[in-house]
Amino acid sequence: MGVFAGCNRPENTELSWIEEETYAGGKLGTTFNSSSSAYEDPAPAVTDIAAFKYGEYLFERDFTQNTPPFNGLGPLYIRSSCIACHPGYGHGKRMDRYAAGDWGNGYLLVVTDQNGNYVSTLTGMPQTKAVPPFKAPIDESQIQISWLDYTDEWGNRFPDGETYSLIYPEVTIPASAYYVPLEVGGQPLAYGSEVVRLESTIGIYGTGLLDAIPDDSLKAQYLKESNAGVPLNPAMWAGTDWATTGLYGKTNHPKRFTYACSRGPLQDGPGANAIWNITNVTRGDRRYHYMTETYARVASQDPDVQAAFYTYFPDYNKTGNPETDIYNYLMSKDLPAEMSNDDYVNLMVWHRGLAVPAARNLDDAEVQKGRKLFREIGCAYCHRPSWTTGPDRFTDPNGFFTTGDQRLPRYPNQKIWPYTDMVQHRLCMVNDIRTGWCRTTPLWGRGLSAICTGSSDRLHDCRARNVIEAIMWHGSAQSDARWTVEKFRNLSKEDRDAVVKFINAI
Amino acid sequence: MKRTFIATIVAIAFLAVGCNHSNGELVNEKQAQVIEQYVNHTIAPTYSNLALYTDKLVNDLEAFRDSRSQSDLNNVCETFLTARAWWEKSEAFLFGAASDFGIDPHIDSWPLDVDAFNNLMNSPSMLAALAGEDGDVVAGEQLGNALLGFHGIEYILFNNGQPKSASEITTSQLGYAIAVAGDLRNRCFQLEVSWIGDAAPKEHRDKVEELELNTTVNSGSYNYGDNLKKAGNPGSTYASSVSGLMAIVDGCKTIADEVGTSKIGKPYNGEDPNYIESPYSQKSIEDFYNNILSIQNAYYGGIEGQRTDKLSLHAYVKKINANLDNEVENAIQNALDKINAMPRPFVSNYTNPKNAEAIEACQNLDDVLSKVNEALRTYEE
Repeated sequence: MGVFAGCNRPENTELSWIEEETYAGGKLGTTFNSSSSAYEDPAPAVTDIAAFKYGEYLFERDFTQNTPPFNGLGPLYIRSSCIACHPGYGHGKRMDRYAAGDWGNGYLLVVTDQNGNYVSTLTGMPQTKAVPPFKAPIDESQIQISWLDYTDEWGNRFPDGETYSLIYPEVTIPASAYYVPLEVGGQPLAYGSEVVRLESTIGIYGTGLLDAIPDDSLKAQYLKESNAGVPLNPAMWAGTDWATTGLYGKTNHPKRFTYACSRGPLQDGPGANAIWNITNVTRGDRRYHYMTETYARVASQDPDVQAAFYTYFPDYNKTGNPETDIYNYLMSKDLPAEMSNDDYVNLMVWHRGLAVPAARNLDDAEVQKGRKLFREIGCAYCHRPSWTTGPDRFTDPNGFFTTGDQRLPRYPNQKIWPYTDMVQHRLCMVNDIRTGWCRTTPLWGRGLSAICTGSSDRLHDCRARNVIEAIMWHGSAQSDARWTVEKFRNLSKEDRDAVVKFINAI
Repeated sequence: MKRTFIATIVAIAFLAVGCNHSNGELVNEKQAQVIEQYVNHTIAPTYSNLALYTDKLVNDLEAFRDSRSQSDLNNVCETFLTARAWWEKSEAFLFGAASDFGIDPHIDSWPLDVDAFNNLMNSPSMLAALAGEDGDVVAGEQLGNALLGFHGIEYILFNNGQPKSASEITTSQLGYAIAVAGDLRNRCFQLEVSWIGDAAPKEHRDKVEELELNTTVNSGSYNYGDNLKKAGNPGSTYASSVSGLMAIVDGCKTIADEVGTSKIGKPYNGEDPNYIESPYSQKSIEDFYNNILSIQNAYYGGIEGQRTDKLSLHAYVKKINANLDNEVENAIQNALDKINAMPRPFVSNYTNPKNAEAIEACQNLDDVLSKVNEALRTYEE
């Protein structure tokens, strides 16, 4: 593979693993860009670059209410653009306040009862923005985020004396901030008894590759872990096969996307849904609002809204009765499509077509030491280094795209290096993620986060400001990773630094 | 197809070298000099001018508010266009603060949300808040990107490519424009301070501090200029000097591609005028031209009048591969020429075949710059 000069070179026999692991997204899914646009490149699998670029516009631009070409915002919305939550296409940033307009605020509010059941009178991803005359379901200016210090059982100190800092968020929303009453499973929930957590975005590159992992391969992984006695989420796995709730919708596809493993095929995954529900932009197959019936009822009965509705929405004066018309507008199932099908296809070309940055510096001695330790101490068990994709005849539960639709980029038979087993585990952290179960987040590309996004916060609520903090949050006594963290703690500083360098190299 | 081929060449070259450095050196002095020249003479004066003229824009708007004279309005429009030109000349380096802090979408989102704008004009409480002393802060915090930045102001000042007549602009519209211009100035101060730190005028630094705007990389101690200049040193997010050089090239590639494929390409190929960015002042072609000038300023190590040939990326590439440097020079000039030949205004001519030539010239420039990155990666001193 060319001429070597200058650097210390590994033996030729070792070269193959470096080459293989450098192609983090396989030959079809890797970019060798390591500059600030590293997360934004089209993969070699993309054949229609123009479609990719047009789709990119839809991701990057702010949506307007009705001014084309990025129109359809509202009546309620979570953000006005996609990229604001996915700064630089990477992980969200740690925030001291919740404001939809804050760049890089990738947080979704997770509002549940004490048992982790979602409040049903808010949308699953609560909206804090509204277009006049509507009022937001939650007034975000009243949301309080406090960052509290945490001391682990070791006093935040390694045996050799090096210390680290751990912080975590506490989120409260006063009753006065809610526009709707709270309910769980049809029963009222008193204000103040709800639990609020934060879930941040992670990088969006490489999801097309993860979608190309065969269902059978995922099942084999679950089976392997189950047989080894690893505790698995009963909502996903029932001993020797998928739980019924582990399969997506009416399909036989296992759920594989989001922390909660709530989504199956990518064509009905977070992105396919978010381009509709974050901005509330309707399209041909989603001609309804992201909305709760409770909100529609409350708004339709709100005298302020009734007084102004026809001024702002004259086209929806159907009966002359504002309460009826407001309710029907909000709950309508046959709204005009605001995003064209062509735009949606372009967005999907872009979404599935995002390349993963190549791993860097795998020939560096320290990185190689870190790579070895990462496997030896057990990080690689959950952060499984690689998978091989199948024929990638992806399916679309919505039927918008045909199976393996030629319009979209595909990644057949690729060896990829995402560093995730795609299975949920528990870290048992204070103010933990909802239900405690969290899919192992892919580590690929994260070392470029500072370059690509300006930040490098990690973990689901961005509580870790660097890799050491992220590792040490894996260390609670009940954590599935406890054994590994104990070993990490007992490494020398040089070895710990090597592990960190490796994690930043992939 | 062509892009895949280029990507493969780059990939093969990357693996041929393996490391990003030669002989274990992360800092290469000659490369560091090129970076320093670029930061100090391309980025710094561009952002300083942008800060200066967006500040002047607020003052000029306030003068017009007081006099309501057409000549003052014409002056405002000229300042607006000057400020905007400096912004467009910064688009070869949108990496760094402009992206990390969301400044680009904050000051350059388009199109203006016309419905939101009309709602705003019908909201006495918001208008009063915008007209107040902290109107710029209110605007920045509450209006949202689709009502902020250059294009919001442009909407108030221009119609059909010309300054409006003074009497066409209402008090409310002017109050909005002044508040938005104040916010634009604030964020341009943030850009300037983020890249040059203490070299920025004290008033600019004070304003940024008062507004508690971020100005350092990853909340650390380096500003963006120092971070890039220290490429290869501990603490910089750039692993090596050559990474820094490649970042310069990557910034140029990004804008070259965007101008060709999206800014010209989407209206041309999709025949959709809604994708035209500056429809009110009708300066789209000037914008595209300035975007390529931004690349020229990056490649030659300075804005006009501040270039030092031997410290430029051009000179460095010429040393590595004179033919490649020649290709770059020709590609830059070709892109400038083809854009200049586009019939104006763009909004009336977006399907003209000359536009296709400009698109191709921009995409060719992007491809040539890819080859530069490959050459940088594989070059051994």
